[in-house]
Amino acid sequence: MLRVDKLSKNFRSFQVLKDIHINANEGQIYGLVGSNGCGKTTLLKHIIQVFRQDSGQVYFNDQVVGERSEVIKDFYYVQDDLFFPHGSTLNSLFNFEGLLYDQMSVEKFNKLTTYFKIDPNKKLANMSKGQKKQAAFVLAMSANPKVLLLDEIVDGLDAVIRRKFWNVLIKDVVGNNMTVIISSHDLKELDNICDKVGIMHEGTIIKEEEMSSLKENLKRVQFAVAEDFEGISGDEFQIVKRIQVGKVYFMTLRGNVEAFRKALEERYQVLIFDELAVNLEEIFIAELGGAGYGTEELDA
Amino acid sequence: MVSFDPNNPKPIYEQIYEQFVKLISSQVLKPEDQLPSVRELASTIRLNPNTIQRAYKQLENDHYIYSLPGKGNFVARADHVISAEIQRKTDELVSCVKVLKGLGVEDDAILAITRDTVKGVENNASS
Repeated sequence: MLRVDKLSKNFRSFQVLKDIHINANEGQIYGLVGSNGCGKTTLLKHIIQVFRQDSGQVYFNDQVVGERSEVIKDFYYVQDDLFFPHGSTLNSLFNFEGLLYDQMSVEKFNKLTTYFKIDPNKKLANMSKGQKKQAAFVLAMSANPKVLLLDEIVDGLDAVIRRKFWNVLIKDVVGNNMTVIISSHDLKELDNICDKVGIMHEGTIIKEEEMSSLKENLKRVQFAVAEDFEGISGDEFQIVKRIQVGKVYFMTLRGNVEAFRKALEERYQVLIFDELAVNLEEIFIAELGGAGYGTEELDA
Repeated sequence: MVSFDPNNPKPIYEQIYEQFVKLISSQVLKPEDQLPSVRELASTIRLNPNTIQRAYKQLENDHYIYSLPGKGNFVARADHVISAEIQRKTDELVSCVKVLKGLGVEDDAILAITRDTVKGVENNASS
């Protein structure tokens, strides 16, 4: 298990990470999501120990993760703003990283370069942003890390390549029991993929929970009533968001949907009532709304 | 072979479960046939592997499939599948009866519907 415990960091007077807690299990994909500038990249750079925290600690299987600790050799970080040494090719990087990572597999490297159709002898400087991302991903997977940190990896990849990427990643998570932390602002990409989600806001994790229980706790309904709708309340549910489109109301709820439905039927003549699917985007908006983000109205 | 609809409010593991039940009860998947591995299916349909694991676990609990450690998951023997189907349909019948009662249908009327249906099936079978 990868555990981040009470981690804090200041850049001069600005506190960029505040008392961060994370628990990511082996063989699981952990989605790190959050508003722009909330500190996702900074957190990942602390897990890999490129940055040193002011306080708190990172643990892997109860061993402290430090810049010089043995366990860090099993960590691999693919950053968002990729930088490659001048004149390097995928082949030259592979040979170099073979010195750093004990588990580097040439077999896997050859298989993946073929699968992603990347020329390992082409200069990385001459590649597009998407090709560079694929190249970095191929290197990461070839290193067979136990902990893989992916920062905005799907950003800039087209639909076909994204599919290939997930295909390779999912197989490795199951096959090698890898721990993956993947940050993204593209919530559709992470939906139904992650086991667990950490929602970050202004340098803190405001919620960390299994995706399945997040989805069980938040519900979305649409309904219409014959009378004028004057609101509804009850002990077993709480309305998080309410949108009206003509006669139809869309609501996001926490709690018991059946109790909500009964309360509605007791007070109104219900014409239609449907439960809708909840996706990660709605969960994200509901959680950040609770933290006071995105609730401002636009005065135009 | 199976897919899921993210816009369906039903939990995804249930969607996967139901599709396998359909494939097994319609004998597209026959007894002793091997199900795709969790790893293979997860990467093909781009879904969290543990969601598929959960659906497989449910199928196993309901005796539609059995698992051999290290080998994979297989469709159960025909008689197991049939008793699993009987169990599932019985549960459906029970919930239908409850709904009818909830709607105010009299007990005698529900029994009459059931009796007539059973008789109708007998008549059809004998003719």
